[in-house]
Amino acid sequence: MADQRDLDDLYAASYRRLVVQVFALCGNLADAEDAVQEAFVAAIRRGHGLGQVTNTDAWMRKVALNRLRAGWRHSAVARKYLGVVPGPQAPVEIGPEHVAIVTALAQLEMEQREVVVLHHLADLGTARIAEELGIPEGTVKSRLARARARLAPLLQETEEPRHA
Amino acid sequence: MPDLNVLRDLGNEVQPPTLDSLRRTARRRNRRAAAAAVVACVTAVVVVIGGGALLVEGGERAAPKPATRPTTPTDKATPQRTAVHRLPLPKGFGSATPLDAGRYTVRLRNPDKPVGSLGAGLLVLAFDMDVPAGWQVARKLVGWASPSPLRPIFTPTSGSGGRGQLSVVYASLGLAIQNNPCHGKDFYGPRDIDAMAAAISRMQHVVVDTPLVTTVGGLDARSMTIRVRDGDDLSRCHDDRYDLFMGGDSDTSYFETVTADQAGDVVRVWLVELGDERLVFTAELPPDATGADADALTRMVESITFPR
Repeated sequence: MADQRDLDDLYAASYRRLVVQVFALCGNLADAEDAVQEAFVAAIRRGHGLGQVTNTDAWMRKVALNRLRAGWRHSAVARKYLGVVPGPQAPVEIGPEHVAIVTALAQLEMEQREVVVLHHLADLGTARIAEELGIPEGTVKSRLARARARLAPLLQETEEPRHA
Repeated sequence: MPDLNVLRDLGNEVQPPTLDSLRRTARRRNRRAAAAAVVACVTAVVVVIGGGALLVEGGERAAPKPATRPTTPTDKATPQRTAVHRLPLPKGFGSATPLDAGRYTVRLRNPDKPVGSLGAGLLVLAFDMDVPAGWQVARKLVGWASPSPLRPIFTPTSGSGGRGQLSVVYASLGLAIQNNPCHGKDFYGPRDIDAMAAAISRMQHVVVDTPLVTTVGGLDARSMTIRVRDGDDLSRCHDDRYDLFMGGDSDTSYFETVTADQAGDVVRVWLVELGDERLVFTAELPPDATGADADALTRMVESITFPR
């Protein structure tokens, strides 16, 4: 079962990384973990079909984000019809520095936040981001530039208390 | 931007559940989906047998019922109905394929529908639709990455001077409808078209017409119009827009949000019941759209048929 081993490897390699990326986008760690677990459930259900996905990281990110948007599925009604994922396994201490960053990121438009996260946390180049988002590379660069311009003062402000 | 690296450290503290626990969740969902498929098949068999019995008996109930709204006659731009073309969807994003006036088969795939050996990318259904001259088709970009296999977008070409767009989403498990479309909270998850129509009617901030009982392609449907008030300030909302509703199929990964982006936007919705599936056709009109634009979109929906 090569697919099983592939999925095991993918899970071990990317679960935490994806949680961090989704957390940066949504600002809620529990929601981020739920979304990533949902993505892996979708991958498991896809079975051999996952082998046809050329970029599994991008696929998992996309599924996780879409699950996040589908928060309604976690309502009581949805739980009646869908098996639920285990959710967070242990509390994670989120420090003020983490809160400051996700608060700053939350000030950005979602489309700007996406390129920032893909570039700075998923370590993708602008060409790869353009491919993943299906937009021109120039748009990625301009969104990144605007996002940095907005983030710079926000992050400076948040750092002042630490320096003080 | 070194600050973001602080978040990476947080990942080390996250404790993943065992993959086996997620496999158990996946198996539970597969079993439920399989059970739902069996119920749907049994229901279909009962309906077919019951319908056959009624036809044999004859009588008033066996007679086909007319559509509540007659199909509008097609205009001169609408082509002959003899030839039905395959829709030439562009492979990538950001590009659209101009269409000749004609009748096209729109194939809707559901990438996450499969149960057992059916496999991903299962073709769920198709419908035929007239497209007038001066229109094009594109793939709607959804969220992070790939094009939506579910949501082809029809828009007028830039040279046509037309405005608006027509799209379709699955809503088989229900439609996620915002009570407050401005802030993206309080989702409803209605599963049948009357409940969907009622939930849309309750939506705050926008003006929603009373839902009409109608048909699309001979199937039971509800239609309604959502209007964003003139002068409304959407900049106060999350992402500067109203997130009206979100489609998506049972456990699919491809959720798709229909939005209104500016004051004066008009969104006409057709909720269609199709066996155990539900489809939502959405015609979106910006404030500068004309009556002719609205008519063109309505005619396209009214021309829809579902081949057997």
